[in-house]
Amino acid sequence: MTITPHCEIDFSSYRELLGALLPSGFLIAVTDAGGQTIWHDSEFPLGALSSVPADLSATLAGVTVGGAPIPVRSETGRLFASPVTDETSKHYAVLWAFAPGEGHPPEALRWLGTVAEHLGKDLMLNAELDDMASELSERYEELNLVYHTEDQVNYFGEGWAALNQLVRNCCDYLDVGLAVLVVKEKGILISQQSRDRTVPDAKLLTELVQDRVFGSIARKNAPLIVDDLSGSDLVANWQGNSYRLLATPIFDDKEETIGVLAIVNSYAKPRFANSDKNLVQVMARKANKILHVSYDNLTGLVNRQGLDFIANELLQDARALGMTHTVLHIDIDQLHVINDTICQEAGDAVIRSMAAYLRQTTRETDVVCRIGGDEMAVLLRRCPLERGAELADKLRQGIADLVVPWEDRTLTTTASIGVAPIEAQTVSAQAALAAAELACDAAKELGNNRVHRFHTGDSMLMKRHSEMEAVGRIQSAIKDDRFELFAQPIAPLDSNAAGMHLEVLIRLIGLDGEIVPPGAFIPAAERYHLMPELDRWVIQSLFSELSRNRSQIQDQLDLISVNLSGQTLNEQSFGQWLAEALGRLDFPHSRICFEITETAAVANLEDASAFMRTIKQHGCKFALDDFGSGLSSFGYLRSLPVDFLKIDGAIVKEVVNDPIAASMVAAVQQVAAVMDLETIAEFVESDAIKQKLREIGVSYVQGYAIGRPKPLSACLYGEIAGSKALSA
Amino acid sequence: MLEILVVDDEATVRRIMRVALAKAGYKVSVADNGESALAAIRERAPDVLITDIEMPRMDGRALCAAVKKEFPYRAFPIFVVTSLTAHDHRKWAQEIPNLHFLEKPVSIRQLTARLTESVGTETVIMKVGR
Repeated sequence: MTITPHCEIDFSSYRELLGALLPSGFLIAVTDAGGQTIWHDSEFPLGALSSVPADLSATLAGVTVGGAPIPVRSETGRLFASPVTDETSKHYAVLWAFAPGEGHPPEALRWLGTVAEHLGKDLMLNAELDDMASELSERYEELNLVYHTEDQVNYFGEGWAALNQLVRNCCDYLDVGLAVLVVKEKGILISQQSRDRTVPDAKLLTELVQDRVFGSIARKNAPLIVDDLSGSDLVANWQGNSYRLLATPIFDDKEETIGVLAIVNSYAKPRFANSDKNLVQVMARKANKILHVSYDNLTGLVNRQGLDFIANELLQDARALGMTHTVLHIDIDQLHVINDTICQEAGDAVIRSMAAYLRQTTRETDVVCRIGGDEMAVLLRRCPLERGAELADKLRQGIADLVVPWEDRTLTTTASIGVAPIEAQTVSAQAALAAAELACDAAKELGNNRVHRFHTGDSMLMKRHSEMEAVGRIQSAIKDDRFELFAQPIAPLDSNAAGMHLEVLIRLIGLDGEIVPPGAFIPAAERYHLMPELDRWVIQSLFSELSRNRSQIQDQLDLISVNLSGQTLNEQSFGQWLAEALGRLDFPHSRICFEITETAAVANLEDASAFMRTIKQHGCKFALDDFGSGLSSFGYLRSLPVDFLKIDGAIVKEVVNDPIAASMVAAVQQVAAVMDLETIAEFVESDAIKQKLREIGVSYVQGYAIGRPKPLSACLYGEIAGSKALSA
Repeated sequence: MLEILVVDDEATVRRIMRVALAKAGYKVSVADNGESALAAIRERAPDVLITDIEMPRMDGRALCAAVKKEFPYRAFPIFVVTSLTAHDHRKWAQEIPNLHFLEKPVSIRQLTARLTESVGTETVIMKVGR
């Protein structure tokens, strides 16, 4: 296929020029290098061109640029040809002039050569532009590849889909026959072929990438380009066709190769260039970013999110095919002793070697996960409970035999293992994981280093049963949107302060319409990591309420507080989500206050304070909740940009009877005053407590003596006057 | 060879599309606004029309509407090139049959894949015409 730069040329303006330069009666035509007519005057006798001798192009080649045209014999008149070429005599086209009748060409015909010279330059420039356009469209493909490949994922399933898409995109946009992603220790192998041509040796090539190519890259920690596979030392006696291969390493945090992303093309295709290498390296980094979300940093094992996802898949498999799988919940005994008496790094070394041991000992199809601190899980695919329990005991023994070298000593440990089945009648994947965890707790209670199997009806395990029911209830409530916002008033002790101040609370509406108290579902939600969803629900519902009725509310409502759980704070994507939600909120941001518990904030001080600073830029306020219950060091208060301290209710309740409690509250009040923070006392259950707090100088009070929680709508619209009276 | 009419007021876009589609094996003609595109369609119906939205004189929406009015039995597909953010402005397109959206920057490989999907490589399409 030839590309035709003359598409962009306005021949009529050249015609106009020649009309002014040549004697009247001349007709003009342009043919391309192949003799095809590109443009002609309507009266031009095209038939005359067919009588042109075949060796004309050879004759034309002798004409210097801009030189006099070659007269060509014609039956019906005088015909002249001027070659259109560039400086290198590349032949683009022929400019023809025809005059009917006989006679010698006038001197003016010299102009024909000059115009042909300019037409040549025009064509050359356009050809160059076309080359650039062609190059640009290649770059567009690369841009599209990077642009359309997602690396922001929130959970394991999304990550898995994103990795598949990444490999698919490499195949499509880079126009290669085969793209392969291998991350061995995580059991990831994704191989995709071009949609419009099959690669005959796809299976062989995939195995090669998995094995030799990965090995070679892991040794050098650098990308690899092979121009001709059959001649390379990667393969001995290659039986297949010949291919070109480009492979780049996927690094972990320590810049060590854990996987490889490779593209393969037939030898007939152009060799891979440096720009291809750079691009595939960008894709490898994207792959690494996706992996991060689903895998634990310390051990490289699948994390909690991944465990939930895979357990769910296994449950689907169990239901569809009647298979039984087994889940092991493993808890390292007394890990904290190692952490406390030696150091955290020693504890980490134990966790790492245990992870490696479990990975090596189980089958490739099994999944080893790190759930948290000292907890791991193993999903034994298609393994009946009986076999699973036997294997658990072997693992327990193996762990007890593990010797972990640490500096000049060795560390040993034991583990407790809970065993539970995932089978067709299992209620949910969460329930199966919880059952294994319960069984593991039982093993620990029976005295560590043992395996306990889950039995339904096991009295030790029944105590948490209600919690598991609660999980089911929460999940169905999330699905059906069966929650309601409640609010409790917070009143100033200094009666001059005016407007309404509320703390927003969440209540679950049971299937028969009854209001479920928070104590019956919040602990379960925390245990099964559902708090982020609940917090998002609260924020979304509250914000839309505030935006919808802004005009009605904003005169009365001074401040509205919303709780954020530690789990929610730990979610990396939450900050962005909240910023977007605030962007949509049509209500003064300065009247929104987020409550974070002291323990949650201190657990991850740096991240918490960064999060708070970001959200404060949107104008919101922060309160440190349950202050005094946890670690209560005033030191970190400096680094947290809070506006309020909420004094823990357990202390407040005792202020009247317990002088120690009273002095603790007074101490908090003093520090708050120095740091220019306001204090809020919770659990103010009597007027006597309120009076005592007033004496200490606490700024605000909250509790049954002030007002009980009520539906938010009742607080906002129903009894505005009433709540004002309360705060007097 | 399938013939594609590319309509865009930006010379760079026209050139890139023309060169890339020609390389991919299509015959390409170009127009710089809706009016000249409509004239070209009247002259000889293309197998595919690819058009921008924002253009002087007659924009992409008006062009689509005009094509629908003038050639109610049109068989050739129309691809409208739009930015990612313009999702909200797609309502008008519901009334135009056989219309597809392409997101900027257009990937020629994706485009050719979709062309193959909607017109085939060698399929002869019943052309509109006189």
